[in-house]
Amino acid sequence: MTEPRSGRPGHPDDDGALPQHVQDAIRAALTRPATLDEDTRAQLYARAAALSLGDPASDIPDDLTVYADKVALWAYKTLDREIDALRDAGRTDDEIFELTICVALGAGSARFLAGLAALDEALAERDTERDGLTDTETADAHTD
Amino acid sequence: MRIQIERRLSPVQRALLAVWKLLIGRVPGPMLVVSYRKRYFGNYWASCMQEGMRAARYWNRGEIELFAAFTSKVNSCTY
Repeated sequence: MTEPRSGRPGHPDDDGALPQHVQDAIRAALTRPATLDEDTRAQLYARAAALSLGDPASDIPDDLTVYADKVALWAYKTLDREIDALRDAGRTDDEIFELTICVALGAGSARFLAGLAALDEALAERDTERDGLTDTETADAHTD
Repeated sequence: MRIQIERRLSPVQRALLAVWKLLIGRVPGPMLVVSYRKRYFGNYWASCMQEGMRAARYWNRGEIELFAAFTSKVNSCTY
């Protein structure tokens, strides 16, 4: 029987199903010294994870919302003018870089864990079907 | 205007990127990202890339590169 893997998307301390190197990268991005404070980085990570899964998302600073949500949901649609808007709002390039990394990690890890969960579900379903078939064969053998 | 990562790299890093440009005409995006602020993110992410792209047991390098290129294409994100 396939054992389900643990891990809750959006909770960096409980993303146990992520590979160790990815967990290390997430922890570094959220906790190493940086220009954005740790709370904001954690909020960005959690919001991106929630949005990626269609869950209710927590608040982040207003000026970051448009760009952060776009990176989380439609990263390929980001535009230079959105980076400029963040600069106009007083954000430095380092802050924009950190925000992009935290959002990308939140969205990516949530989708990765959702993919693993779907795979586990499919494997469990297959195991159940196999067990059912084996039971039927055993019953048939007894009847014979 | 996007973040000008190249301007903020060390001379050695810029020289390495120049070699990439000579070889393939551009610097791959992942290479730029792992080069910038290595102690904050780049070093950690480089380890992830190394494990994901080079440490697989079931697939060879070419197959993994193909998976990555296909996924990037589907995501409309040039790899």
